[in-house]
Amino acid sequence: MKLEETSGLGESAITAEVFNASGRQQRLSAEGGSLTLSEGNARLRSWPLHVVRVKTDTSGGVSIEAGGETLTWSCTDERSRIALAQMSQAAHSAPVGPPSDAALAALLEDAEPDDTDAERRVKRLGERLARLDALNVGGMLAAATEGGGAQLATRLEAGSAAGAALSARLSRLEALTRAAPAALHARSGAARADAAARALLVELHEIYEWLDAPALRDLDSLSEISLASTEGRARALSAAEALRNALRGERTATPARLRLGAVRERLRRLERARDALAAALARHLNNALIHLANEAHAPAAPRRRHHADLQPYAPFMRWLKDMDEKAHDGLVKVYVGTWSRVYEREVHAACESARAALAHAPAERIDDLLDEVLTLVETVCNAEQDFCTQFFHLDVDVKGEAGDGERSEKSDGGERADGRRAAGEARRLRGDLFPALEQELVALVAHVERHEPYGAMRALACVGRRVLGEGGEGGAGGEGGEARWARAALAAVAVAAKRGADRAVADRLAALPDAVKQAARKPKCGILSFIPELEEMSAVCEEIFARGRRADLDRWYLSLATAMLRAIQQAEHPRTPRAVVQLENYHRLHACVSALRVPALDALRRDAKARYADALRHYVTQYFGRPLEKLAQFFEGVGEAVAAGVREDEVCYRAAFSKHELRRLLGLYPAHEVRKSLHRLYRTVEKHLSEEGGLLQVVWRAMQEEFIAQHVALQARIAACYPGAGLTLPLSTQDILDAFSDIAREH
Amino acid sequence: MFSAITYELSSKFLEEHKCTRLLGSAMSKKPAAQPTLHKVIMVGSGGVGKSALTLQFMYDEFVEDYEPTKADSYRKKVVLDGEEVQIDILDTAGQEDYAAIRDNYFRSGEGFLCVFSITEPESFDATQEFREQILRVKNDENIPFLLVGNKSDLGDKRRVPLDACRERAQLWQVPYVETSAKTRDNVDKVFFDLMREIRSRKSDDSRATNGDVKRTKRRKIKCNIL
Repeated sequence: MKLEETSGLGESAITAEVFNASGRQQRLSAEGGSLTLSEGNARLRSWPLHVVRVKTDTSGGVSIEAGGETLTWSCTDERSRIALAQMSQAAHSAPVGPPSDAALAALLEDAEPDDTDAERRVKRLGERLARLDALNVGGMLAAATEGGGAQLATRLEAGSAAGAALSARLSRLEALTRAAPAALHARSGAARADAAARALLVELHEIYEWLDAPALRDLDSLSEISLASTEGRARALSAAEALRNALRGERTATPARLRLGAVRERLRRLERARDALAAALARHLNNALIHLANEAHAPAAPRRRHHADLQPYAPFMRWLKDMDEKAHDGLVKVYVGTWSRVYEREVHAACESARAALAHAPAERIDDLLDEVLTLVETVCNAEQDFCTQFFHLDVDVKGEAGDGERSEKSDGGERADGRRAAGEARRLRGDLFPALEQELVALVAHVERHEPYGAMRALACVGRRVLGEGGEGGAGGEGGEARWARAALAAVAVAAKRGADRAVADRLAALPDAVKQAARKPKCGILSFIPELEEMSAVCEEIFARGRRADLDRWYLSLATAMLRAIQQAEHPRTPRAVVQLENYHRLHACVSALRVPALDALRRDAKARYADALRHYVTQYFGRPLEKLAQFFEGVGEAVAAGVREDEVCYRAAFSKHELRRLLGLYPAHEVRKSLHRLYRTVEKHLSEEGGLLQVVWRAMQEEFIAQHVALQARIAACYPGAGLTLPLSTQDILDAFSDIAREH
Repeated sequence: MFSAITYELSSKFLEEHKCTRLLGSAMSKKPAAQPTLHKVIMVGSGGVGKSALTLQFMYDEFVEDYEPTKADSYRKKVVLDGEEVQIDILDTAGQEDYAAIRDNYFRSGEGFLCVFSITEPESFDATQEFREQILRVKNDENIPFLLVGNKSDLGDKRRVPLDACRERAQLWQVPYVETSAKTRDNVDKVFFDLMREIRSRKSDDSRATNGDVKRTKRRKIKCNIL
């Protein structure tokens, strides 16, 4: 209560220089409600200001009447005279003893603007006002302390009425003093009383507003309000909010207010009402939750009706969270306990039915079946998250917010910390509500993976589309992105599917040597089985990943194809020459990789092509010499000698390369033998090469080309090294071409 | 690192699983009998676009750089009028030093795409020679055969009149189609038309030989020659 004592003198002292009868210079000063007489530094006398009358006359005389004695001085300077005039005024308005309310009223009633009597009247008025102040405060304090909470309202009301009457009188008083120009003193006294009364009024009003909102009228029956009806809920809610605001006010109330016994008592009463209401709410909500749970567990339960049913209680949950955290947490536990079981059962049933459907469905349906389960999970999670966020007020710091129910202003940092806290709370709740969700889904993926060779890939494509959106990048999996509860489940499925798919690819990689072993049991090596398997895989996977991200697919292609190149390089076959194993398989792998048209495989494609060309060249050069093997060796030696510097026309003088030796060798290859050996060569090539490789024509064409080129070179060598010796190869070029045509006709 | 461990673990744990899968795939391969194979030979002078047509048909790609082909073989499964068949394309060298070398692969062909460039009269003239050799080697006037005028996208550089092309096709009693390996115009058409001809020839043959008995006989004869 700040009914502060007002002084007409204001803050600073007023001093006047005076001379006494013996001519000594003395000083009169009015300060802090007393008048002091001093000489030099010595303090001579002092009177309370209100018992002193200061008089000045026009000739410069000053007199003070105090307690029957009169002292006189003379005052010469103008400044001191003005000060004395002020002092005289101050003395009039100084507060005096206890006045009475009724007396003041009487005084005010019959007051008359009388110049001569004004001084006295104003003095009395001042005295009575001061008394009234004290009386009012005393009365109020008395009312507050002796009255119980229930009485407070009446007293407050009475006080307020009294205050209103008081303020009416004060305005009249003001009017009266204004009408009496000589009674200036009266005005300041009245103003002080007015301010005090107003302050008291404000104080009372504030306390009244704080502790006795209209919604708190039926404080004792709050817990009996029926929460089942909309109307009852509205009433309960407004009472609850009023209670909350009143109790919150305790935090910001001044210590002076809290010292008031009536306020303390009232607060205690409000607390009791709060506890009763919280208990009633908790009981009702608990019953509602259990009822809904029973419904949900019953067969053919309507889907997720409970969100709508519980929604009206959201404000009460918020209230409980603030007012009775224990009750709130208990309700959360009941909710979580109930619905986690419902969801677990629901998701498990969905997974089971997907499993059952998988047993009969074609592989292509896996995507749809999995998609259905994921849709269910996503729907359930999203709905549950939206509901819980709202119902349990996960995103609102209930305790921290301002009393008026609006979010308080926060700095960025505070908001971030708040966000973290809310996210943590939400995560915990998600974990409690869906404890087995991820395991269930991962188990389903594992089942799909076992069920079908491309199961994991199908699962990965399916979940990938959900997580990343159609077409790969950019999708967010619904608004809210990372924070959505469904995301965590989907991410777990994605990880499981990706591991499964990688495992499937790893199995293929590990099985590459098996294909070589398998081929060894066949008469011809042919195409190693892993290449058609890669073709099959690409055909299936291209379809699987047609609508989604294919980064994984390209990665698998690359690792498989790279490993295949290596496996082909190392492959051996008991009956097929390595060159043939390589040329056929490199060729087919190149075709397979080319058909994929994946830019990431371009280098590998070129590599496969180069290796194929190498293998083909190697095979052709290795076998072309067979028909004329000894001749070929002979001329190889000739070629080396020439390269070493022997003149071509002098080679024949060397024993090893003599005409005689050449003639002997040529004798080994009569024309019909050469023809036969060409046919034999064709048959050999035909035997080596596989039907599925489809390279017979390509290889034979290269053989023919190589043989003729060799033949032409030998002819040229004979012409150069053994001129005029009459030595010729057994067949002419045309003979050979004819032989080739024969072969073509025969096969 | 982690994934490597995962791989290792999984490959151990799933050893059994893998085996069944391999068995499964081996088993699934058997019933899928190899589809009918139609052997197509690309012939024509060098640089007319035989390889370009082949690569466009096979991989939907057009390679600008010219690199002379010696011979290359391609296979692709396609659906021909609802039936899955396999096409075997032998892309051959335009420039061959000795024509006789071609005998063998012409012999192996069941149908021919005889390609020239509409911007190059010499290549058009050369088709005559190819046609004759094919008929000689195959000894069959009705061998499936398409006359293909390639580079139709270069209409402004055309030097072989359309009438001349049609006249020649008329004379040979073969279809004439203009293609562009660059724009893919008619690329699928020539391969599919030719496959249809090959297919109808094959069914005519089997009808002419009156059923399976004779066909097996024929095969036996072939084996004897071998």
